[in-house]
Amino acid sequence: MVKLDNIIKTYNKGKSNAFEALHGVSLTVGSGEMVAIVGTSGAGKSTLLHILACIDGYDSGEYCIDGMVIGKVSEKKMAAIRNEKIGMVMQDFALVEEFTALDNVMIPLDFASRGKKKRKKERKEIALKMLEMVQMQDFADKPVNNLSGGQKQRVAIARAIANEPSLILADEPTGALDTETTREIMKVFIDLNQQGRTIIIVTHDLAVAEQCSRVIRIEDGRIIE
Amino acid sequence: MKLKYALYEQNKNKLMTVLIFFQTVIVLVMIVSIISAIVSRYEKYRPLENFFQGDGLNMHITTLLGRTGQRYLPFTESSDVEKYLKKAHMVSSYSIQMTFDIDNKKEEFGSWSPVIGYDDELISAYTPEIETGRWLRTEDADTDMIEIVLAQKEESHKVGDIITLTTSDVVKESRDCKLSKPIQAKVVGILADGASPIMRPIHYGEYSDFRDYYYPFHRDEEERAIVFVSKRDIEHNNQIHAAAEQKNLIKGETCIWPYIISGPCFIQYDTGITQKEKDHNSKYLAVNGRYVFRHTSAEMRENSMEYIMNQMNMLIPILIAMIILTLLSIISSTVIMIRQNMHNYSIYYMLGMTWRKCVSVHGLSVVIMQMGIFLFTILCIAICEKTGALDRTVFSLGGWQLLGCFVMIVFFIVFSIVLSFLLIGKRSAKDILREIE
Repeated sequence: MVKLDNIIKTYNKGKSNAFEALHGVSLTVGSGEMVAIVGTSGAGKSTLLHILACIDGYDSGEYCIDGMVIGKVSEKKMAAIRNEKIGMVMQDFALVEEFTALDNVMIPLDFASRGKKKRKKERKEIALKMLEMVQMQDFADKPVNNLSGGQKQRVAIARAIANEPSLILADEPTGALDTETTREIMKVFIDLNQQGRTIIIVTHDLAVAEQCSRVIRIEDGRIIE
Repeated sequence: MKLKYALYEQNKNKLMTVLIFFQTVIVLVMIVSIISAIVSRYEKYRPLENFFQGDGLNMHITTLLGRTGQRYLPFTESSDVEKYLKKAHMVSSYSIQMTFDIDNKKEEFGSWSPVIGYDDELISAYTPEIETGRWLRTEDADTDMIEIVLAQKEESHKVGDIITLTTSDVVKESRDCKLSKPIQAKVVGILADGASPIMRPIHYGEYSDFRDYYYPFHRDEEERAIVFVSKRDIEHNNQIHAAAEQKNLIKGETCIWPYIISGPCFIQYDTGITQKEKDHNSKYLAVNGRYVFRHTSAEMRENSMEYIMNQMNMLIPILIAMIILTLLSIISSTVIMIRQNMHNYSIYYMLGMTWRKCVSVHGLSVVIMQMGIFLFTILCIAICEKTGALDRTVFSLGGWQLLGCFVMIVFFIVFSIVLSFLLIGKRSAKDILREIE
């Protein structure tokens, strides 16, 4: 379902400080897989994840998600892909701090394209259901800036799955959490994977990577195993 | 959907919102005051604009005598004067030789109060500011009394009051005659404090432009009340015996003078009048008239426009400077606000919003704020105007002021949105999100 073919990404292209972050990366992730991408700092794992998340572009190669070639679609279509097909979890949670947990989870539901947008009541019900899935239903009306790191990450995961995307991407999701909370968050990911969701986690924590069904190592912008 | 995020943006940037709010309010108040200053001047010129058109003479007449039989007596009808002039149309005001019955509100009207009459053209040309009631009408009154508008020093009378008019003591003394019976007059309007009716001001001739035709009425500076009536109303009201007697006067025999041509007077020449005819008219007026002010229409037009343009030239640079300062402030505030919001915009982008929609969220937030400022300012000014706090100032809220404020608000909105277009989406969302990490 996710296929990268010979992806090349260069930062500051055409400038004296041009830097090729990915040198022809090819990768296929099947539906229902839980994959960890590991590598040292600056290896290109986050760049790869951002390309997968459609929040960064690439210079050459081809990226397909569910058979659709990314890079050949309009900005509007790209936004729809980010909204419908991809759920993103960031290390710093990337939550709107003053919003409640419920409001945060409702954001991707609010941004659904015209034909797919549900009624407000329904959106709220879905968001509550997602919070329930990550055991955060009791915190639905709390502003997220009052929550702990682990709770915030649960809210971020609930938001990532709100639109039932085919792909969940996590960029160092446990990087800002303690060991106990890391364990809890990984359990959430594993549960989601067991429900059939495809998950790609970028991490430098081998203990996290070991919990995934497949580990991809990246070094100097190349996949080495 | 956008509204929710736009309102959140307002809430998130409270300090900047408050800053922009007060700055914009100040600019709008400045706009209203400057436009009011210009409009108030132009609005005083506009009613007289028609009288200043083409060729003609504009005067403040004391009396204009006409030969009646063996005697020279003051003219009482502008149409009578026209007969002696060539290719001329005359619009005039009148001094009505009547006053209030001294038993009626002695404390205020014990002394002689001027009664000013107007030709219909003057009544319809300009309506001074009325506190209560209405201005004089150009139709016949629906009552059997003449209608008057009062500019009173004290609040002695109100709309609907019936006042008795009697022959002026001045007339009585000089002519030894009086009205055959007192005349009932109904108060239909009370002139507002600070109003400027058309009549001879104390310092007439000071400007040689339209301002010389307006009398600044300020209650606490007045010594007596002023009464305004329609000359046609007096003339046509059956109860006003004076009118009939006046006709006799013109015929040369009786001795009551209910009214005479006096005060502001506009003579407009027909197109095609020759210099010889103009000379004839000038000579006739010079010989038979006593006037204290006389200018050609061309002089009045030029002087008036020069005055208005000078006012604009003086005020507009102040306004432009204020707008530039606010614009600079809006630029910096918008840049700061957008930078503060970029993290959220990047989250929205990651979750399925395009940058363009992020701009529209910011745009909606700006529209809400600016329209809020607009409504707040207009409401405040309207309340001040209603409560009389703006009395004796030129500050007013009319169509031009509203338009000026609206144009400025639209300009600020457009400017802010253009700025957000230039700023939002210039950096990738992942860079902004990583920066926070």
